[in-house]
Amino acid sequence: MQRQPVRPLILALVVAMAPLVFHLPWWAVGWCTVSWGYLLLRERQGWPAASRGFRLAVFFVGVAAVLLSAGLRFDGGDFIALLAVMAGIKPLEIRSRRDSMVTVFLAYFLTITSLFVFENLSMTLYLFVSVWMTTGVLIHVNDPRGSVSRQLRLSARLILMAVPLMMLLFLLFPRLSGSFWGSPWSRQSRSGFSSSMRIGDVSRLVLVDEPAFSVTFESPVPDADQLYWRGIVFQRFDGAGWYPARRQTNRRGSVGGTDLSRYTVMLEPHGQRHLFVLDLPVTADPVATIMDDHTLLARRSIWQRFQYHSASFLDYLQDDAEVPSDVYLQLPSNRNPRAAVLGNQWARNHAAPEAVVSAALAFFRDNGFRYTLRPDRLGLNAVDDFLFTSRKGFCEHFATAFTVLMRAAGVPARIVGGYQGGKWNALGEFLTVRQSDAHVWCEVWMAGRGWVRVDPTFTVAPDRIDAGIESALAGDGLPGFLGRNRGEMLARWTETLRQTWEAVNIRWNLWFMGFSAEDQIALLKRLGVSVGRQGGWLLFMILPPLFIAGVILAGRMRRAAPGRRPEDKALNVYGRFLDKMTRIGMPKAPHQGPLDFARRVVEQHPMLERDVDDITRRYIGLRYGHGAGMDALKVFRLRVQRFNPRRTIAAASRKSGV
Amino acid sequence: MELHPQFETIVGQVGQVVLGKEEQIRMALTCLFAGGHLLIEDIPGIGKTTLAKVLSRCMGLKFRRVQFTSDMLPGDILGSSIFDQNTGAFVFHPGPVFTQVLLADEINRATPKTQSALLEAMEEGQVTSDGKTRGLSAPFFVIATQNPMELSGTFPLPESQLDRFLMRIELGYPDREAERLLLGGDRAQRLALNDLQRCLSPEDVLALQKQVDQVHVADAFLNYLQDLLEFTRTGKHFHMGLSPRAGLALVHAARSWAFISGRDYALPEDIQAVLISVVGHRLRSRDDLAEIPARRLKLLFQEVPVP
Repeated sequence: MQRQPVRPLILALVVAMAPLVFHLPWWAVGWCTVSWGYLLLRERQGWPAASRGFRLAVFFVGVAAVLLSAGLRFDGGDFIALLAVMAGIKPLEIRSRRDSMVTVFLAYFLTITSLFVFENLSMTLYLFVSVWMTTGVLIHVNDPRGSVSRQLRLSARLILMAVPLMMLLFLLFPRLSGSFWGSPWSRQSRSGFSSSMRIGDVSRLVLVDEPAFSVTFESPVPDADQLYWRGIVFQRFDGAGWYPARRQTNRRGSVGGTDLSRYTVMLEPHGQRHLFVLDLPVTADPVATIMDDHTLLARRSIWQRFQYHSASFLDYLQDDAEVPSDVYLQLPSNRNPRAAVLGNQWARNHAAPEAVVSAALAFFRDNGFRYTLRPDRLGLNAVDDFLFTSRKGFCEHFATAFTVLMRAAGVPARIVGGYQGGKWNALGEFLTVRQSDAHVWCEVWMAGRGWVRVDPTFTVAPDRIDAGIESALAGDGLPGFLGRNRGEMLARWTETLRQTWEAVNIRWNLWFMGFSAEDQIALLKRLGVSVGRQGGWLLFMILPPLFIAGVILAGRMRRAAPGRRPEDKALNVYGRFLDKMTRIGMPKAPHQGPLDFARRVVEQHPMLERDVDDITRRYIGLRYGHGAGMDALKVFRLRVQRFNPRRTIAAASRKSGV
Repeated sequence: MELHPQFETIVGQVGQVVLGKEEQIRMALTCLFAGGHLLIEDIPGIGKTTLAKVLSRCMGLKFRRVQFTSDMLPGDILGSSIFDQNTGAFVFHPGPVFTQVLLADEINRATPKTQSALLEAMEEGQVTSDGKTRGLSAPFFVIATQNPMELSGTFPLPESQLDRFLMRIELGYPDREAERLLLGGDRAQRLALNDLQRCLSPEDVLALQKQVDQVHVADAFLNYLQDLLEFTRTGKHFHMGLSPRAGLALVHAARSWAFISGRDYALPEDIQAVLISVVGHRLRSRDDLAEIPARRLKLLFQEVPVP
């Protein structure tokens, strides 16, 4: 048996594992590095192979490490870690071609694993490279002496030939509605709104330059001051943070209007259930429910990129039948006394809620409030400190203070969290909303009008709404992407590049990643095949042909491949015998017939004569003789199983030594 | 190498006379029992004639020898019709071909016309003269010799005719020990030739030939054979690949070899044993269209793995 090409195999593993590096625990990366480095060094220095015991020990250590780091919560990420650990030690035991093949398939498996973790275009392109390399190594394993460049070319050709089949499967292979992979593969902390908001959360979020979602509009794109992406409504305030209502229902008042905007949102995974829609949504995808506070709630948490359609009335009118409960007047007791006093004072001076709102906005406008990402530290009475002392804050400060004042003045009020604005990508004709567009604003209840949106931040920093956060914060001395301290030219170039890349990505996501079961059914319908939403069509259309194809293929393999008839099985068993001989340094040359080989073995090791002659005789009888039955095969198999050349040689040499 | 006990005695007997040539004797026997004809290519005086004589004597077969010359006519081999004045009719006088073992010495000295007359007789097992077809006796075994060194005034057999010979072997010089025996015991050897016992009868030979045809060839064996044929046809070493007739010849020869080895089924080793003898004169190198030396040929065929 020839030496296995360890280096190319390790290369395949490295290429396959590279994208996962930042998703793996650090020790797993180190584990692989050490193991592979040792192997490469061993190749160079010609060190002997690791013993079986050592390999077993390493295996148990690796599994134990994965289990320890995963604990009871064993999720997809831990599976990946386990796979990586196995990939790290698998090359240690490569001896036969079979081991090499297993390693190659491990590399394929790692490649597939990256698909669970990443969904973007660049990773898909990288996966092609990875598959190409791995296939090249697969060819190399089977033809170690061939020219590498030709093998890589063959690999590329194979992949190209597979592309039509890939397309076909992509379009026709049954998709399951919803998330296929049930449990998330990596529960890493995702930036975005969580289910509660503490003061300071949003200003931290704004520093993250990640896309939150992107939107394509089927109707004209709304103006910037209408782009309020509603995500979550906060009801309860404990003096430091806001919390949504404990119970929500989907009994909501009806919404009407004239300016209906239809759009599709491609949401990045954020690990929460809430979806983002424009104020106020009227219809939503079947994947979500519109709640009584006009927010959209998905059926389960979003751990993968998620696409949904929605429609909203921008000039919404709503049913005011239901007067909100007292919880919208709730304030933490013994906190913010000065704000309470101010609120009470407004309540006495103004009868109508509109007047109270105007008074509050005027208060913000006239008292030198500043919009900044770097507010001063606030004490226990945060709202009082902000309103009367520091007067520097971010949208959450303004919204919180405003809501507290409203409630103190007896006007029902709540906070809405979401995003405001977004960057229009003219190239791809879509809107990208980033985490830096995170925003909170307020809603106050007015009799006859329902919940009315009031954005106190707008009063202080109108730029924030009109021109986006970067211009509003200009001069705030911010580092990185928010501060514009790069060369203007360079900045424009990078911006164009980024927009182009995002445009390509969004198309990719829309057309490929977003190709859902519904789209597939629609496509089939266009082709004249009508299928239901459920798995029924899967059973009747795909499985039977697949089954038949499988049977035909299996039949062919049965005919073509060795291992079925007794004489071919004899070949397999004989192969095991040859393996044993190889292990004692007596490989059979390919051109050698069984008799020749036996003669040579006996010349070298006379003590094996009895066994080897017997095995060879049985083998040629089975394979070349008149066709012996299964019994003969059984005896032959047993004979080969019992055959232990190493022990026989050792025993003979002991005897002669004595 | 194991040997069928019956053949052990034959090889032993012949070996007493043709010293140190067990391998070649065995190959000649293989050729005989496969029902093929043998071409021995070697320099004169190496024991070609002796081998043929001893073989025929051992088998109890009729033996004739024809020395081929350039003025030989087909009739000199096949026989001719001569007018009998007493009966007033043509009477056919059979030529030397009407025998069981024919030694055609230096076949390449004859003209192509004469050569082809003999080769037809070999192929058909019958002779047609004056419109009348006469069957040859069975078994019919031709041992032709040719001298590869002397080329002047010879007509080397073309490839198509070489193909008629199942095998071509070389005898080669005897090794030192065997030659010493030969040189020292000249008289004893002569005696041995005369004293040789008949081991078989012609009927036995025919029966054995039938048994050879019964030797089992398994799929695995045929796979290997086809791999070999495929190798000569697709490989880059040969001018032309082996013909199906060559494939058949290989099967026959391998069967015969297996039978002589005392087995009733053929192994890849059997093909390997007869391979060079069977295909050596059928293959030409692609580079210079010359024959490929046996050693190199052996190495080339090692590229074909035994399945």
